[in-house]
Amino acid sequence: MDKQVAEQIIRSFVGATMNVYRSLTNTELVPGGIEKAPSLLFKTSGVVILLSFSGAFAGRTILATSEKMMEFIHECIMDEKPTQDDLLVTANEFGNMVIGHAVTDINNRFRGSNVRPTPPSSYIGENLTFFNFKMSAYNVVFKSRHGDLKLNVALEEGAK
Amino acid sequence: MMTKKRILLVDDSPLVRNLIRKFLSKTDDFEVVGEASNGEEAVKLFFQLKPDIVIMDVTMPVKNGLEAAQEILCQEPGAKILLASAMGDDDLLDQALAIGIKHSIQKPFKQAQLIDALNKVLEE
Repeated sequence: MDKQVAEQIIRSFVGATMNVYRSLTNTELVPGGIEKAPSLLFKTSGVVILLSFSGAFAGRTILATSEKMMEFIHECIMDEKPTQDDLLVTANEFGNMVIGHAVTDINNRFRGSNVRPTPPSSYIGENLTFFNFKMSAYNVVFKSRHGDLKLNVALEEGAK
Repeated sequence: MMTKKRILLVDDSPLVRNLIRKFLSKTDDFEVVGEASNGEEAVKLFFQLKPDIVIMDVTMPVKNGLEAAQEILCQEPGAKILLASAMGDDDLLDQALAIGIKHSIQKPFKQAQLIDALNKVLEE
């Protein structure tokens, strides 16, 4: 994939994450730089949201954060403390909104690319490892008052 | 006393349905009369309940929101549908317009934005 196109796709996800978080919580996420993932493995603990997309550009995105931060997001949306199940539902919907916004931006920048997301999956666990096979991955770490949020975007090699 | 406008809520996310229900319960103008979690249920409930407005998600299992909206509008061309999706790219909005859906709102939205969008649908 062309390096500039890849960077633009990642920026779409960075922008989407910040915009959705701001809309839901009225607080800001501050992004770090875009860094090429040092290995094919992505390791994290806490709440993980797996998102996939296909079309002219295909890949997989991981959003990873702490349970505490997801509780904060849930409380901002629903004005009540979440159960464990609520955390996963909220994580799923947060991920759904992020990928929706990212794909909207990608499709509007690259008309005709018809990128579409698949439904997200959410997990809660410790010492989780994800393997990015045949994909080039990039990391961005966001900082906020309520903790860090990690974004890992893996793009299918050989895509247009 | 003004009659409340009857809303059919269609979204596969229980969080989104809870949130919209919460938003509308704080108003005097709208009430949720039914909820569906996929497009197939949405079509069934539409003809059962005959709501004033359908708030319709796009990406759903069994049948998506655009297919459900098309089915509803084929039989009831005057049906009022507000598309509510996390996606809002021009191609999707063009598809929606081609089916006859003129109004959409992108998630996440605040209560005021939802009420404003519903009022615009009613003005049609």
